[in-house]
Amino acid sequence: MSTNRPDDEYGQNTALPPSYEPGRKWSLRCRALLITAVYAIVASLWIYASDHALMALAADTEIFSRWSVYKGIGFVLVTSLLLLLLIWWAFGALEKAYTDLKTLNQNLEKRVRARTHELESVATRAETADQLKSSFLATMSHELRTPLNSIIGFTGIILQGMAGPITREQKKQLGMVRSSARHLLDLINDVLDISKIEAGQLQIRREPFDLTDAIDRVIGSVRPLAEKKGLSLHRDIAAGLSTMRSDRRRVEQILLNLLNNAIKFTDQGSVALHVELEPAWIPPATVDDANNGTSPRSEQPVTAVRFQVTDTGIGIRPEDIEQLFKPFNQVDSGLTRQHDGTGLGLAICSRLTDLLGGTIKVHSQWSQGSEFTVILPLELP
Amino acid sequence: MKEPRLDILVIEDNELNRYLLTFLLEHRGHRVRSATDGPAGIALAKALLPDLILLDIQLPTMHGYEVAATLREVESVGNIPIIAVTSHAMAGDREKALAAGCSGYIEKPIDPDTFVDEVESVCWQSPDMESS
Ligand SMILES: Nc1ncnc2c1ncn2[C@@H]1O[C@H](COP(=O)(O)OP(=O)(O)OP(=O)(O)O)[C@@H](O)[C@H]1O
Ligand SMILES: [Mg+2]
Repeated sequence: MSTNRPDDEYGQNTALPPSYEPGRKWSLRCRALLITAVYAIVASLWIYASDHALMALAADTEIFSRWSVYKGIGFVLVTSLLLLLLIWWAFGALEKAYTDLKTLNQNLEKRVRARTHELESVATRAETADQLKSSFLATMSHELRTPLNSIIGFTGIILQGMAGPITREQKKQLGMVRSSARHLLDLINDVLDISKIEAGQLQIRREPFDLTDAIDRVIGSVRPLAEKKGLSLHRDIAAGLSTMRSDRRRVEQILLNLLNNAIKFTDQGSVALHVELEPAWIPPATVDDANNGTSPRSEQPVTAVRFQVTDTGIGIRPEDIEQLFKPFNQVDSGLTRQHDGTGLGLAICSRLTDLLGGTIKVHSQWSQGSEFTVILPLELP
Repeated sequence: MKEPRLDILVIEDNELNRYLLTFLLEHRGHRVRSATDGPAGIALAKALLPDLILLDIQLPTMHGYEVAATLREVESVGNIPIIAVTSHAMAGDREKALAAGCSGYIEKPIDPDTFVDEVESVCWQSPDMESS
């Protein structure tokens, strides 16, 4: 993984050369002081000692002063030589430090360029992957549904007798074909929905729509199911609820899923949908809010709608509730296994409520019934 | 059947679907002609001046909304009601279809029991400009 390089590599690459450590500076100055001091002592001692020796050897002052000049010139020559050596060495060291610095700089530049390039290519690769993913999903949704639509359509035609009379047995079997095809279509739609959500490809729309209309549409489409099972289906909408600004289709999808579950997991009694206004609801902190810390959004109460789906069905054990919203999860109680489904419904519901800025909660009493509560902001920001 | 027979143009690329729609409409006594893509559909609409156009949204080469918008521009066919036929889950398709100038919207999978009723109701609801 190019993004997860170990830290020590960065440390080594970017560290300054050893001569630039701050402690080093003082040891160099001390050395200069030492060299100067040694020079001063040695030179003074030499001048002093040599003058004494010369004075003892020289016969008269004239010879002494002539030799003193030779001695001085010799001294200057020797020290000049020493000075030359010292400067030679110091300049050499400086030059080396300079070239070192230059190559380091060039390497650094090269590395920065390489890393920038790497990052850019990672970004473009991620982008293409995203585009691929979304076009794959779009193609799949179309390609998988088209043949199913034909199957459902043609079985419908034959079942209706539009293509000629059929026997009772044929009618029964074709009915099975059609319901299997419808089931498969639901499944495909669910799988595509969840993959779209996981891939971040689901676009949420914000449009005003009539809440009562939406609820009636949903109730209307589950009513036949409830009637078939002999369950009574209630719907009550608190006064004062009219327009909601959100994604109508997704709101309907959430309610449809919850009502379908309620009917599916209830064998006798009733299923009900209560809808009311929640005037001052505090929205949950979203991931973004948690990251940047300052979020006026998560503090401010907003107007919300509370949807409550209650049933008198088999209920859910407390220990199973946690698993409920995970994809492909069905409570395996032996009882529920007799109901078909993939365990995607609630996972989709919970992700959709997230996307719509709301929350979903469950209360359930084993073998007494369940209550699913969804709260959505009346106006999606 | 009391209702007058309708002249319907079906623009749909999938052969089975085209056959399905044609079968259902003809079964109720309507006359159906069909095209397999946008440009052919537009040409046929101009030539036939049908009473109604059924338009698949996911067409090759030219997208259904584009076809609808183009048809609306043409004076001779600008008032013919168009019904968009699209598959589920494309959020906001209904709105997009209406915005592109369609008069109605039917979702796939179509229900053979109710499909023709839906088509007829859209057609007879929309104001008939030609007679005024
Ligand atoms: N109202 C309810 N009463 C009792 N159990 C429920 C209820 N709603 C959901 N459950 C339990 O939670 C599980 C997960 O529900 P979910 O809707 O995700 O899947 P499903 O209904 O089994 O399949 P799908 O919705 O994908 O067709 C169900 O299998 C069931 O065990
Ligand atoms: Mg379910």
